[in-house]
Amino acid sequence: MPVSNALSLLLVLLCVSADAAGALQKCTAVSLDLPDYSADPIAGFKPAAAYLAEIDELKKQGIYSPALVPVLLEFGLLQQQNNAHDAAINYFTAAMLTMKVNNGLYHAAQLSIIDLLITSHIALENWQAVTDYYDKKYWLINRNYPDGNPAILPIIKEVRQWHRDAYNKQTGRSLQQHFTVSEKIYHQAMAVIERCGGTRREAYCFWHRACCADARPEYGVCPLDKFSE
Amino acid sequence: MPALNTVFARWTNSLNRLAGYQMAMMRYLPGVFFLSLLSGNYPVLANQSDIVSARWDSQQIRFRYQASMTFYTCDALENKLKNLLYAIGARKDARVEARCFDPAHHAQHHADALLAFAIPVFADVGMESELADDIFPARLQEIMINRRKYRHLAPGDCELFADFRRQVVDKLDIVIVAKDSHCRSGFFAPSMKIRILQPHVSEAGHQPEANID
Repeated sequence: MPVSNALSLLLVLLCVSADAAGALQKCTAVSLDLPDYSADPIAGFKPAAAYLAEIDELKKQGIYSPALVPVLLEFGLLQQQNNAHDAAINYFTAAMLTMKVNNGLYHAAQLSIIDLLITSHIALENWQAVTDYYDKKYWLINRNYPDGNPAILPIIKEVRQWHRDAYNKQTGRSLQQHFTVSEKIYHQAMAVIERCGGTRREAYCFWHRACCADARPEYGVCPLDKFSE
Repeated sequence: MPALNTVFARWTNSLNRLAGYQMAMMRYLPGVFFLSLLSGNYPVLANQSDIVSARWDSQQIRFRYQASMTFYTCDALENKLKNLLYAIGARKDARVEARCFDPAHHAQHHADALLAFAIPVFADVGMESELADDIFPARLQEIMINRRKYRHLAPGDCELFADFRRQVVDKLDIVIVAKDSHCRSGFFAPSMKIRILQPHVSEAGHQPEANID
């Protein structure tokens, strides 16, 4: 898969906020100010030696030169695609560190890199690291968008989904901790949906996509009346 | 003593009535067995048209048990709840953590439990492409939860079973086809007929694997 496609996919994940905004008429989803890597046209991967040479060259401008970030990410993606996840994690981490130095410790731009890190840690089954990064993602979202922008909904839903799925994994968290985070996110999202004038049905569909279209006559009715958590 | 006679007569009547139930059950057993076969209580090979795409959906439910008749130790409560989850189609990696207020080996008057499990749900059309690896074939089946099928169910479990139905089954996409109203009498173990989505057992006996770590 070309790098540009991978980066586009990454951005799609972060930009699905438009769906949430569409449903919630009373609120305007303010676009999350995230870096658009796909704006940098990348035709495909170069040989590994070319990346290493480029990284060395860029480091001459300063070891935290902002120009290093896309190269480190691209090289990390190449490693990820070759299943060299440990190496990929090293390059993604270096890119994140460089981004922190240039943009600030809590800049939302890290969210894109955290997604790449999560993918590699899932491949390595480092469940504790995956949970740490999801928690960091949630923390960063709340720090950067504290006003309840509906554009955060798909991202916090993804974090909640991880805490629901993680019950059978060695995450270093107790079941109680997973429940607590999950419930906190649920109430936060419901507050955003309610503030934005979302209906009960929209809220249900946001959490349970499979059933909201009434396309399941086998169940009798879409169990909207069961909607309470 | 007339009072003692009356008590003895009532006791004899109760025994006779129970014996009558047993006789009636024996008489109707073949019919019940035949009907249960028809109603799909036992896994049968499905038509291809019945098979739908499903995926595992994780659930988190806080459960509270307040006993008035039956008291369980913490471990017993966890085991009972886990078995009930499996009975409603939960994947075999369900986790139940009971938090008991009395010492764990004592019978508990009330207890809270965290239930974390996954059950099959219809795979959303929009999600199939994203999570193709997690999709598996399944079909809707009506199953009977009773003591004949689940030996762990006892007449004393009625209270727990009612709480489980109210706090767990009612929150899930499970249709209750029939429920037993005689459970409170203390003679009968709880029973319930539900319609759930179950992984399809192919002719080769292949079932989707649980993602257990």
